[in-house]
Formats: sequence, C-alpha cells, structure tokens
Amino acid sequence: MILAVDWDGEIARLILAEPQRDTIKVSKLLKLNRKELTDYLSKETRKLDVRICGGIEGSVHKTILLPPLKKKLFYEAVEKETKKFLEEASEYTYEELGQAEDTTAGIQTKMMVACLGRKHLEELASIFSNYKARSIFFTTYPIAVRVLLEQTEELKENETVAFVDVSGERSRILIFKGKEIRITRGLPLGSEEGKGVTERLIKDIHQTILFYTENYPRDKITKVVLGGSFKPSDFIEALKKQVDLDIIPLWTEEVFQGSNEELLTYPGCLGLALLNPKKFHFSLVPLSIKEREKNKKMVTWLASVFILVVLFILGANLKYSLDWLSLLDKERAVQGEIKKRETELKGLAKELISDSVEKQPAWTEFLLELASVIPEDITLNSLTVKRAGKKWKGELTGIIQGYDNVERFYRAEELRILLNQCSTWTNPILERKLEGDNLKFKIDLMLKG
Amino acid sequence: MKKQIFLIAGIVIVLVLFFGVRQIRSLQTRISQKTKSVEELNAHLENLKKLSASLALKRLKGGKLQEVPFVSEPQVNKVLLEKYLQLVFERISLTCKVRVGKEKNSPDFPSLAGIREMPLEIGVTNYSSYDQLIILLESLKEYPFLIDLFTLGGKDINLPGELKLRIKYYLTSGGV
Repeated sequence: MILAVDWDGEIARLILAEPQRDTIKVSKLLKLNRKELTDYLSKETRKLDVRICGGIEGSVHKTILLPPLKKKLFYEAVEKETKKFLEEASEYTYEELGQAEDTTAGIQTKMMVACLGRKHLEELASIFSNYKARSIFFTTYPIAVRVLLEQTEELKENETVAFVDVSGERSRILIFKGKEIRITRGLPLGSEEGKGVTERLIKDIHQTILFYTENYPRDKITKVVLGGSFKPSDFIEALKKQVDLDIIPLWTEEVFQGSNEELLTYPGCLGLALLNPKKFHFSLVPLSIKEREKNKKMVTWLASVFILVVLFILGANLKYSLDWLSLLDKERAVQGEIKKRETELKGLAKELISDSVEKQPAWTEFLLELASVIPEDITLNSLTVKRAGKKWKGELTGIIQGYDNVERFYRAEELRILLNQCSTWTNPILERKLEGDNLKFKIDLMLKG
Repeated sequence: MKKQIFLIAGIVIVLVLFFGVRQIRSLQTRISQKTKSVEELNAHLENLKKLSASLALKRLKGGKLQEVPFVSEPQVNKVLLEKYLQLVFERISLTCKVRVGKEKNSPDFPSLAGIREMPLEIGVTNYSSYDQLIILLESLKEYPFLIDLFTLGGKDINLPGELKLRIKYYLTSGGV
C-alpha cells in the first residue's frame, strides 16, 4: 500500500493507493493541514510505502550542459555546477537526459538537477519522523507531475507541454520540454482588485506561456494539460480563448481505477503513486535521515562485529572445551588401564621383585674389569657403589706414589684412558690432586645396568 | 554523544575480544599441558604393558628367588632376617654385623603391587679378599635383595668393618 503525500507547505494532499495488476486502486483521498496529518499518521498502524513530494517553493530544477568527462570528474562537475545556483543548503539529485542537440561547444551531456532546500526537506521529514514506514522517500512536486504526465502519455519526448494544477489560490503551473522541467510557478502570481481568482489564473497562465515563449523562442508549447478542480466548460473555453492552445483535461481513467473529478485534484500524489522507485533518479534524502541511516549502518556494523567476535570466542571456546573434555576422557581411560595393569602386577609381585633383582649390574664383570684396569703401582683407597634411582654410581679414590710429578700426572692420564675403554661402566670422570709427593685421584663412573 | 556511544561500543568489543582471546589462550595452554600429561601416562602404560608381558613370561619360565622363612611377628622376622644373612655370609667365610630397619612399603614398585621392603645395613668385619666381594654380590642375587650401596674403605655406613653394604630385602604379603 502506498501513501502518497503532496505537501505544499501548508496543506498536504494525501492518497492511499494500492497497485493492482494493470492499474492502481485509490482507497482514500484527503486534504489535511500539518496537525491533521500528524494525527492521521499517529493513528495509521499499517507499515506503508511512503512517497512525499515537496511544493514548488524551495525547489529548483535546472538543466546543465557538461562536456564529456570521466565518470568521477563528470559527477564532480555536476556538483560544482549545481552549487552555483543554490541559494541555501539543499539536497539535490540529478538525471542524465542524453546529449545536447544544438551546441556550438561540441558534444555535451544534458543533466537535469532537482534540488529541495534542506530546511524544507527537514520540515517534511519531521512530519513523518514518528511514523514507522516500510519505506520512505522524498522528491519534488514537478518531478511527481512529470511522472504522471509520462504515464498518462500526455508528455512525450521533445514535446513541450504546460501543466496547470487548478486549485484556487494554491494553483501551480509547470512547463516541460520532454523530461526537462523548464518552468515551475505558483499561481496566481499576485492579487488584482476587481478580478476573481479564475480570471487572475487565466491571465497568469497566459503570462507564463508568453514568458516561456520569450525565453525559448524556438520552442512551441503544444498543449496545456489541466488538472485540479475547475468547471470544464467555462474555464477551458476562457483559457483556450486567452492562450490559443489545445487545452486537455487530465485523463487518468486508464491508470487509476474509478477515476473521478476529485482524483484529478491530487496530481502530485497520482504521480508519486505511479513512479517506479527502482528506476527513479530523483529521490532526495533529508540530512537527518542520512544521519539516521549512517548511525543505523554504524550500529549494524558494530553489532555485526560484536556478534562475530562473540561467535568467534564462543566457537573457539566450544572447540577447545570439547578438546579438553576429550582429553579428560582419554586421561581417565589411560588411568583406568594403568590401574588395571598395576592390579595385574600385584599378582606378579614375585616376578616383579625378581626382575628388579636381575636388573642390578653384573657385579662380577664390573669388579673383575676394574681389577684388571687398575695398574699395580696405583693404590686404591676406597671403592663405593651407590644406587641413584635406577642407576648405580661408582666412586673410586686412590693414590699414585713414587715417580716425579710429570710421571704421576702421566700415569693418571693413562688410567683415565684405560677407564674410558671399559665396557661395564660409562662416563668416567677423573679428578687429580697433587699432595706432597703423592697424586691423589678420584674417579666417578656410571655402571651399566 | 553518538560518537561517545560508538566509542564505548568499540571499547566493549575490543575488551570482549581481549578477554575472549585470553581465555582461549589459557584453554590452549591447559590443553597443551594435559596433552603432555596424557602422553606421559600413555608412555607409562606402554612400559607397564611391556613389564607385565615380560613378568608373565618370567612366570612361565619359572625360576624362583630363595626366601627367608618369615612368621607373622615383625620383630621375630627382623631377627630371622639378621640370622639368615649371617648364615649366607658365613658360607663365604665372612663375619658380619647386621642392622635391620623397619619394614615399609617399597617405593621401588607401583603401590598396587603391594611389595614391602626391609632396609639392612651390614658391616663385614673379616673381609680379606676381592674374590669374597665378588662371590658375595653374586650370591645376594639369589635372594630378593637389592644392593643400594656397597663400599670398600668408604665411610657411608656407620658400622665396623672394611666392607659395608646397604641392601633392601623385598617381600610380598604372600612371601617371596
């Protein structure tokens, strides 16, 4: 369901439209002031696709010509050109209208820029700030009317058409050249004593057409399309007489189901209901909404990062916790097996002792080898073999007497070499100390088990 | 205000990440330690399996150690062991002084095996030849004795004699 709102600064024309297969069904037509509109929105519980167009005031539509440029430079140039004709801070958007026909500066691209004053746009946005719409976008009234004329086939490419929205003191005139919006004016332009609104309107329409003809002498308006509320016979005849152009009342029956005279007083809303948002270039976004969207994106981004971080931590924790549990299971299983084996050993205690006794070093071989290695001129003072864990350490102390000092050291060195070649022990370490005429020595060795 | 909120949210994310990663690292460390301990247990189990297989084979092959005939009274057993040892030493013409310690669970075997030990200190007073030492050490292997220490001329054991020994006598509840 589409809620199309045409806000002219004071009055909102509003329709509720539902697209059918080939047509659009309009279910509600309202004209509300700001307070009534706010009340209406506060009561609306459905989530609607909201499309809003702002009035002529505060909006600017210009066509600019630009030379062929690279994409980035091209859009920079569009922005630069647009800022030239903006008096206040505005939100703007643009559409490429193709190549310019008659230019002396070579091939140029025609761009139509639509701007809406930021203040005006924010005012519009504030009306809808509390309403939760399914989607919402803003555009200008002339753009909405252009869509209407295009969809009703009243505006064709390169055709110049004037459109008058007859609505008493709130009447508006627009002149289109194909997709280009050339003139936008609120009517009547002023008050004139002694003349009614209709007379003044007809005069102002005529003056606007003359103004256009003066500014675009080569261009001829082909017809005037009338929308809004008017008495067909009187008004059309009077206008035709004044402007000398075809006057065509707006015809929407093919597009809107049950089209009636009242529906024609909502041209902006009808245009909004007809446009295709996916192919629409003139969607203006208020700064506050941009800011809100930016914050929303930031919140979404932060939330995504947070969720990712939490998921990563949870995932890693889960994985490692499972690994931990599996290790505990494994440990329990191995411990159980060890206990079982140890219990088995209880029955083999005698064999266990026997095994331990057998694993003692081969004492005979050790003592015989030791006796064979020690030369007769070396006196052993002590021999001690001590168990250290599963190994046995040996310690020998002795003395080398006689000879001179050099010969004593030489004998000690010979002893060390001999000890190194033995098979029943390993790693002999020889310490020597000269005391008077004697050389005392100590040998540490490790017995092979 | 919004910037501050985003900043706080950013800090919260960084903190969650920091503490989360720290917890993960701690888990990784615990897992690595546990893996090591399980590996050690596995190695121990493998050794036990091998030992158990070799002991079973030993049982099949037969061959028993001689044992001291014990009674149920520990004090009497001490005397019995002392006398028994003196007899063993006498066979190789050695006179010795024996000191028997208190019976206790042996730390040399898995506790479940239920093997106990009696520490003994021996001082040989009439040691005269190297051959005697060789014969003595070899003959001790026929009994459930494990030599902790022996010394010729050393001072590790406070007993008289040139040759001194510190040995363990292993016994099970059902006798050796």
